[in-house]
Amino acid sequence: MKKPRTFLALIFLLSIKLSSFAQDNTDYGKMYTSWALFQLVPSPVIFQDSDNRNSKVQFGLRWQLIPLNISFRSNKYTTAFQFFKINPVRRFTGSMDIFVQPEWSLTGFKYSGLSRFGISAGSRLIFPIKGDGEKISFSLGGKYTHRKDALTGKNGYWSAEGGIYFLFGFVGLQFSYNFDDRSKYNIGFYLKYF
Amino acid sequence: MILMKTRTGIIVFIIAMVTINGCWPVRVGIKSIGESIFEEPEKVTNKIRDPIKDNVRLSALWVGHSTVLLQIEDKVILIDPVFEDVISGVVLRKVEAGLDMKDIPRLDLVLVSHAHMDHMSLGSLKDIDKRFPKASLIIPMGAEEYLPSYDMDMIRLKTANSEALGYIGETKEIGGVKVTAVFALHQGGRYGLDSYTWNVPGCTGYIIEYNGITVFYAGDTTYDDNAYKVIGNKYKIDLALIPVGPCRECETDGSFYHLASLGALKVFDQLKAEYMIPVHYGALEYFDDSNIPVYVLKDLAERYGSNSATGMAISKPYSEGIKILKEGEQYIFKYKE
Repeated sequence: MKKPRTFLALIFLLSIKLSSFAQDNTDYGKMYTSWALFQLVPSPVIFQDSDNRNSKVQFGLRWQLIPLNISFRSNKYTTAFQFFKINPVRRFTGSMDIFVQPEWSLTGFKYSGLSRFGISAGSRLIFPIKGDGEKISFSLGGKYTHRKDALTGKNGYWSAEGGIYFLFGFVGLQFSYNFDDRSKYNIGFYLKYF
Repeated sequence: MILMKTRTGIIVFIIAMVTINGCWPVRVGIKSIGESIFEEPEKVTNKIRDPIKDNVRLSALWVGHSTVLLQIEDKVILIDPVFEDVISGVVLRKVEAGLDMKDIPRLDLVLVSHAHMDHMSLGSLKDIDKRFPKASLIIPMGAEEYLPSYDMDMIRLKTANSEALGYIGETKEIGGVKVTAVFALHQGGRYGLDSYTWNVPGCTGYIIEYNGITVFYAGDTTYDDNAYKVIGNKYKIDLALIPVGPCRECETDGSFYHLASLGALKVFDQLKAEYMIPVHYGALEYFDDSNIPVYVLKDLAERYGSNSATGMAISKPYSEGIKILKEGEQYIFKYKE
């Protein structure tokens, strides 16, 4: 029980801006509270649900967590490594995410036998397109989703993922091609503030 | 059942209409997105193609809003560069930028006062970096969080935006030009909550000194009874670039975050500057007419005439000291002898 707490405390401390100066009146309490509340906002997503004869889309929700982002264009005053609370500029101007996505299918999987809950983890590269990425950026990546399939007994599947992001990288669309015959694709919004 | 559905529909429609019409940010937001997709800003005719001249000691070209191109003898300085038609991805400028970046032949310094969208465009900075990789980019401490790396040399200045810190911040000399961060009471941040709730740092005004010429740029700021007197007593300012908007009540000092027209006039008095160019109006529609702050400034300047707005002695009537420019217009204040 002690180890996870220590780990979380370490991550929290690393994510706080370490340097400070006399003019810094940042309200860290408000910052982390409001940021944490924003992370609860889910991104709507649809999953393909099929068996040998039928195919349907199911509606669900997904949460976007980024435990680590490595920027390729951090300037000399900022760090390339960010944990959980990700400065959008360092992300959309060119970076790599290590992400985690808990997912919940609200309508369930009727044909495939997949479980409602799944959790994906993967990595993506983000590239700027317009306005140095602030107006439009895109991403390419891969992930593994842990989701039990009651019919086949499989525990999960690999996916290739692509995304396009607008409005400072806070809003986007993500598409995943899954290497799984029961749910070959999912398409979802990406909603994340910092 | 049909009656219930109709009633629910009417209620939803009324709530939606009240929200959209009653809530200013929602109304302006929806209008802005529509305009930015389907419309274009007003064009500036007769743009200046040779803004840098050999015989000039001090000139200023108002590109629009808060973007100004300064020439101080052989040095070319660009302030708060925003050249795009659509600011912040959704807001269409009323009038396009009054200068094409390709017409700037050389550039020594780029000064950014803070990271708000109307003062710092990442798209414009990227274009500047491509064209002028040897220029220096000056920012206030805190703004570095909102910038990627560039070929331009990024130089961060410590700010002093309070009486306790003395109003005068860090000075650095870059290629013979002395740049000092000075008081501005505004916000850092860029993306909403970071500015208005988290209170992250990163805003400043600037004093620029080169070969006996001193220019003051206020950044975004609000009125302070003491700060501008201190700055005015320390520096002999030739030209002050002072924001005049946005304001609902323009014949006041301004709000907590911005100077209004009267406040700008008082700052001009307290700085004891020789000339003033009003900025921060025209391009963006905050309330009704984006030019109202400068109409009111003109009116106030005419009403006060040779009497000062603060009661302090002023060296000449406002009509001589205040230069109101159109987008793309350049004023040459001093020629080389």
